[in-house]
This record gives sequence, C-alpha cells and structure tokens, in this order.
Amino acid sequence: MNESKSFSVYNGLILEILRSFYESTPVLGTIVPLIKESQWGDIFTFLRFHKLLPIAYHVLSGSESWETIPNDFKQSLKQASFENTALILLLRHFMEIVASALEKARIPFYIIKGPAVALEFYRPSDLRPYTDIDIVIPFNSFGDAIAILNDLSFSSRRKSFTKEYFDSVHFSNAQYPGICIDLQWESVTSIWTREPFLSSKEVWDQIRLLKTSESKHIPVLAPMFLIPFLCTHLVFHHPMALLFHLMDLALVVRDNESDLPWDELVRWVQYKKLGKPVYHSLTWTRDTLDVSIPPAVLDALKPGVVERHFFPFRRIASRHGNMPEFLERVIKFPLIEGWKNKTRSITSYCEMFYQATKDE
Amino acid sequence: MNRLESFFTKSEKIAWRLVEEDSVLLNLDTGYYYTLNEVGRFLWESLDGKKKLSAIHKEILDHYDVDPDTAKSDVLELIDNLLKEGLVEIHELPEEGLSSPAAP
Repeated sequence: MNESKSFSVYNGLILEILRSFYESTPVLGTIVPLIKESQWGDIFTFLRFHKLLPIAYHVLSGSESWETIPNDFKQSLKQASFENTALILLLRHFMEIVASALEKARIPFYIIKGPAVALEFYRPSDLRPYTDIDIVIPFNSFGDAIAILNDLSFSSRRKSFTKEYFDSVHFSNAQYPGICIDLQWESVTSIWTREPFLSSKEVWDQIRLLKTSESKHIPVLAPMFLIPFLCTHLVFHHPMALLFHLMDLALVVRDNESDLPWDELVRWVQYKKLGKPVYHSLTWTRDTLDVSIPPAVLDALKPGVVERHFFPFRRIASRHGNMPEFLERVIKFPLIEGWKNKTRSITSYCEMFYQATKDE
Repeated sequence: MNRLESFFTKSEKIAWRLVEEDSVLLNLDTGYYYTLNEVGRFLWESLDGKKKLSAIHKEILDHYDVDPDTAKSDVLELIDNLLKEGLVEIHELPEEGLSSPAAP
C-alpha cells in the first residue's frame, strides 16, 4: 500500500472517503479532527476536480464526524450534491427519450461511461456524476442518428466527421444548455490503431441489456470489454485519470470478480495492444482500494521495469488541477505500444487539430 | 377549494430523488430543480392522491416534534409553492387506483 504518498496533506481523508464508499464502511472518526480549518477549502476544490463531491457528501453526512465539519464546507457539499442529482435526473430523462427513438428507428446502439456505469454499479446511482450521455452507434448509422437527434432538438456545430479516428461528436440542446449527447463509433484507441475496439464484432455481439426501471432497459458493454475500456479511458482521456474513474473501475471489477474471464480478457487486451493502460489502471486500483486483481493478470500485462517504476501515472492521477494538454499528450505517448502506432497517433492528432480549426 | 380537505398528486412531469435526508425535485419541462428538507420530503412522499392534506398534516405531527399551528402554516405554504410551480395537482376527490411512486 504505497499510494498515499501521492495524495498530499489531506490524503488520509480523501482515501478514507474513497475506501468508505467502496467498502460501505463508516469514515473513521479519527481523521476529520486532524484536518485544519484552512484545509477544507482545498479539500472541496480537490473533490470537485476529481468529481467526488456527491460521494463525499454521501459518506461524510452519514458519519459521526459530520457535526464537527465546518458548516461552509457541509453546505457547499450538500448544494453540489443537489445540483448533481438534478442534472442527472435531466440527463436520464433525455437518455430514455433518445434511446427510445433509436430503438424505434432500429439503429443499433449502446450506452457507455457515466450513465451506464452509474446505473449498474453505483448505489445510489446518482452519486456517480456525469455531464453528458455517450452513445456508441455503428458509423454507417451516423446519418440516421443525426436526423433523430435533430428531431429531438439536439444539434452539433461540427460540419464534418472523420471515420478513421476517434470522433466523439457533441450534440447540445438549445432549450437545455447543460444537456449534451455524444455520438461515437470508436474509442480513443483509433487515434493510433486501425484495430477496432468499441466497433468490433465481439463487443457488439456481447452487448447486454441493463434493466433501469420496471419497463426500461439500456444496452451496455459486457464487463469483459468494459474493464479494458475504462482502463483505456482512464489513462488516455483528457483530463487524464480523475479519481472517480478509479472508483468506476474498482466497482466494476469487484462486482464481476467471480464471473470475469480474466484469461480471455488478457488475451484480448494483448491482441489489441492495450496492455500498458490496463496494467497501470488495474495496479492503481488494487493499490488504492485493495481491489482484488489476479496477480497472473498483472504479470501478463506488465510493461518494462523502467516504465513500471518511473512512469508518473499515480502522481498525475492524484493531481489537484488540470495540466497543459500538450504536456499530458507527451506523458501519455509512451503508453502507446509500437512505433508504428506512435507515429500514427501524431499524424492523427495533427489531422484532428486541423479539422477542428477548419470547423471553427 | 379548501386545500386541507383536498387530495394532491405529484405531477407526471416531475422526476425526483432522495439525497440523503432531503429530496431533489426536477421539473422535466423547464429544467428547474427544487429541494425539500426532511419534513418537506415527508409531505412530498405522502402526496399519493388518497390522503387529504389534513391527514398528512396529522402524520407530520405524529412523526416530528413541531407546533401544530406552525406545522399547518408550513404545510399550506409548501403546498401552495408546489402548486404554483406546477409540481403537484389538486383534486377534490381521492384518486382511485393510483399507486404512489416508490422512492427511487
């Protein structure tokens, strides 16, 4: 257990909040009294940056320490939780409308990230913040899906879309400015490899239906693919590795521990050349929350000794604020396997940057 | 209509969730959200169209240590606000066959 070194002065409380939620145990009463009055503001900023405010409110408000926490902090935490819940209620409402319209039009789709993970693994589900609905569709259905979203008053400012690269096309609704829907057909891996991930046949073949209410279901990824996806997302997505991604991964692994086909997962990850992000994410999850990961899995995926010990993943993951995007991309670069893929990633970023500039 | 002798149901355009001891109500038409404290949440959960507001008032007195007159004026004020915001509907008669939505 060496993760705490990277969590700064109030590491104890942050780790305690994470562990308390993960293990459904009360926050230890010994930690809160050690926090100085002047540190609560920084703790709030840290929790907000890592999108942990609802979890912190849930865990702390149920603890014996709650009465001893400064009122300003408690009120801010409570208000943030209310706002998060309201936004999630609205997003879920629109998710159901869009899902129903896609079903009616017989467009294959599945939901990834925030709402899918929240509904399946978080209790209560509203503790997992998200700000948009991510929907994966086959690329050849894109035109039809755009028409459906336009009918539902969602529009995109993007004028062109490139199939080759990861392209999460953002749709917003003029009447509800906070509500966004992202349509995508691939994962971030398509920036450096032509090997399909989210669009691969095996992923589509194993899509499951998750029951969300008495009469409603949403299609979601099977755990066998969800875990590599979350690991890849955690490591590569901007901004890199927020702590709520760690909680996502921990909950998914824990809840599927007994059924996971780890051997198959390792083979698939190696075939897709995703060993590094999966290794770093899983070891970080294991070391921080004592999540049970079979040692053989980590052995099979482990990168070279230099990268294992010197890659600054944990320091970045527990940082206090955003870092320059260019720096982040440079740091992530070694995690892309093979020089061919590395070269392709540089070309892709340049093309995407050019495309974005042209659209603006 | 005498509100205390009336029946109230939650509007269908409202989504709501418990947040620890409080509740968040969201008007899906407007996107506006509202929060209710523990007693407000008790009242909200009791609005099933089958009980008169006066019966709900009595239940509040049974559950919480509050002055009856203060509770009555608070209940009326809250129900007025809920009506004004379109979050509840008022009925002269009980709603037969309605089932109260379970806490999400």
